[in-house]
Amino acid sequence: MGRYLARRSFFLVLSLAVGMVVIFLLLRLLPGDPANALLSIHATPEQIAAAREQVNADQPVATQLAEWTSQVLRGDLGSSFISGQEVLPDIAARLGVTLPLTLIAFTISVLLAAVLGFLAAYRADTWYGTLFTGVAQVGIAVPVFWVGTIFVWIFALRLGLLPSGGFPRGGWADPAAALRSLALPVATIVTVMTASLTRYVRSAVLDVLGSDHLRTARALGAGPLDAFARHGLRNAAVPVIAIMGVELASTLLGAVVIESVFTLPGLGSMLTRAIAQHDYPVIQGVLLVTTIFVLLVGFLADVTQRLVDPRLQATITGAHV
Amino acid sequence: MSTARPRRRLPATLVLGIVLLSLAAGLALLSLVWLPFELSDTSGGRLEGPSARHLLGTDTFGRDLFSWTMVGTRIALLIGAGAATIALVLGLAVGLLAAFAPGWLDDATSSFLDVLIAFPTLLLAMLVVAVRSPSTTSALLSIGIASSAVVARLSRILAKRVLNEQFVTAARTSGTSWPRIVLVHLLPNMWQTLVVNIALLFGIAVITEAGLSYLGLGVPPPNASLGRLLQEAQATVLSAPLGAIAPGVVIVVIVLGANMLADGLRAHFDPALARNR
Repeated sequence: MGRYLARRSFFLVLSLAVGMVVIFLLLRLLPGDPANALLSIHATPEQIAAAREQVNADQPVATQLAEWTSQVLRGDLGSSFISGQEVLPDIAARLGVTLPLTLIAFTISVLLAAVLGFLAAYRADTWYGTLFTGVAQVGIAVPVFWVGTIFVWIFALRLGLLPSGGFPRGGWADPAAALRSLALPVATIVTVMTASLTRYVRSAVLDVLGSDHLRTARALGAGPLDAFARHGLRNAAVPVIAIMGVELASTLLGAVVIESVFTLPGLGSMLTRAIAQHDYPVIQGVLLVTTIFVLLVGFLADVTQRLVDPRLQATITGAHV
Repeated sequence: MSTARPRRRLPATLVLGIVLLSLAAGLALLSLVWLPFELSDTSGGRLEGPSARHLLGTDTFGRDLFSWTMVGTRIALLIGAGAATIALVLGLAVGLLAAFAPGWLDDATSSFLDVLIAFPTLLLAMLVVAVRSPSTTSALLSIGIASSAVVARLSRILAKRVLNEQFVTAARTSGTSWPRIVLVHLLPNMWQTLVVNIALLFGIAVITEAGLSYLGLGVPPPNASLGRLLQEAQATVLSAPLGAIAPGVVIVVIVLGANMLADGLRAHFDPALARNR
C-alpha cells in the first residue's frame, strides 16, 4: 500500500503539473496575447496596458509560464483584469458557497442512490423496481438548470416556501438563512445526481447478484440480505466508488450552472462571468482550483477503491489494458 | 441477406429511442419548410398564453414560442450530430494512434485522457468558448472536441483488445499493411461499441449545448437555442410557465431518445448482455 500511495501521489503531482501547463497554453491560443481579448469588451487602453503588465505579455511564453508557476507556488493567483480584485481571496470566499452546496447535495444523492439503486436491482421484477429504473433513465436526460427553473416556479414562486435565489449578504453568519437559500439548489442537484448514481448502483448490484459466489452463499443457507451484506457489498462498492469520484467532480461543475439559475455568488458564477469577459487571471485561477479538486477527488477514489478491493493490482490509472 | 438467420425482435428500448428521436427530427424538419411565424415576427401580444394562433404562447417581445422551439430543436439536433461526428473522427484518430504508438507515448496519452475525462464535458466546452468567444461554430467545435476524449479512450482500449487477437498476428506475419489491418480487422470489430457510445455522446452534446447557451456561452442570437429559450423564459415563468417548460421537454425527449437508442443498440448487438441491463 505504501508503494502504491507513493506512485499514486507522484501521478497526482504529475497530472497537476500537466493540468497547469494545459490551462496556461490553452488561454494563450488566442492570436496576440491575453490582453487583446479585452479589446472585444471595450476595455480602456490603461486597463489593457495593466493587463499586459500583469501577465508579462512582452516576455516569451516559456518565461510567462515559469513566472505564473512561481506565483502560483507562492499562493498568488494574480488580480482580475476587470475589477482589479485579487483572485485567490475571491475564490476562497466563493468556495464558502460552492463547497457546501456540492458536498451537501452529493452526500444526499449518494445515500438516496444507494437505497434506490439497490432496490431497483434487488426488486427488479416488482413494479417499484421497474419504476426506479425508469425514473433514473428519465432523470439523466433532464438538464439540471431546467429542473432548477421548475423548482423555482413551484416551490419559490407559486408556493412561496423557499427563496428563489440569492445568498444572504452575511454569508454563513446566519446559518439558517444560508441553508434556506441552498435548499432549492441542493434539491435540484440531488434530483439529477441521484438519477445517474442510481443507475450505477443498480448495475453494480445486478452484477453481484448474478455472481456464482453469491449463489453459493445462498445455497449454503445464508439469507438473501445476509448473503449480500457479507459477500456482495464490497464487490458492488468497488465500481460505485470509482464512478463516485467522477460524479463528485461533475457535481462541483454542475454547481456552475446551478449557481446561474439561483444567482448564488459561488465559483461557477465567477467562472461564467470571467469567460464572458475574457478575464484571464480569474479563468486561470478558478480552473486551477477546480483541477486541484478534481484530481484530489480522483486520488481519494482510487485509494479508497484499493482499500476496499485488495485484489486490485498496482495499476496507476486503472485504464491500462 | 441470408435467410438462415432467424429474425430477432428489436429491443423495446431501441424502438422507443427511434420513436422519440423521430419526433424531435420531425419537428426539426418541419421547421425547414414551415413555421407558424417568422422568428423575427413580433406581431403577437406580450407574454400571451397558449392559443390556437400561438400554441405555446408568446415571449416578452411578442414572438411565437412554438416557432422558436421548432428552430431550437433543429439547431440542437444539428449541433448534437455535428459534435458527435467531430468526437468520433478526432477520438478514433487519437485512440488508434495511441494503440499503435510505442509504450511510453501510449501511456502518456492515456494518462492525459484519463485526466481530461475527469472533467465534465460542459466545463471543457466552456474552456474552448473562453478562447474562441461564443458562436454557433464555437459551440459545435467545443462540444465535439470536449467529447472526443471519451471516444479516444474507448477506441484505444477496443483497438488494443483486437490487436492482441491471433488473427491480427496472422495478418501481420503474412505481410498485411497497417492501414489494411485497421480497415479489415480493427474497425469491423469496433464499430458496434463505438456506435452505442456515439449515441450516448449525441445526447450529452445536446444537453451540453443547452447548458452552454443557458449560460450565454453557446448559440448567440438571432439563432434559436433551446437552452437560451429556457434562460429567457425563467424570468417570466410565473406568468408564462409554458415557455419555460416546452423547450425543456424537447431536450428531455432528444436525450432520452438518444440514451434509449444506445441501450437498445447495445442489447441488439449483444443479446446476452441485454438481460442484465
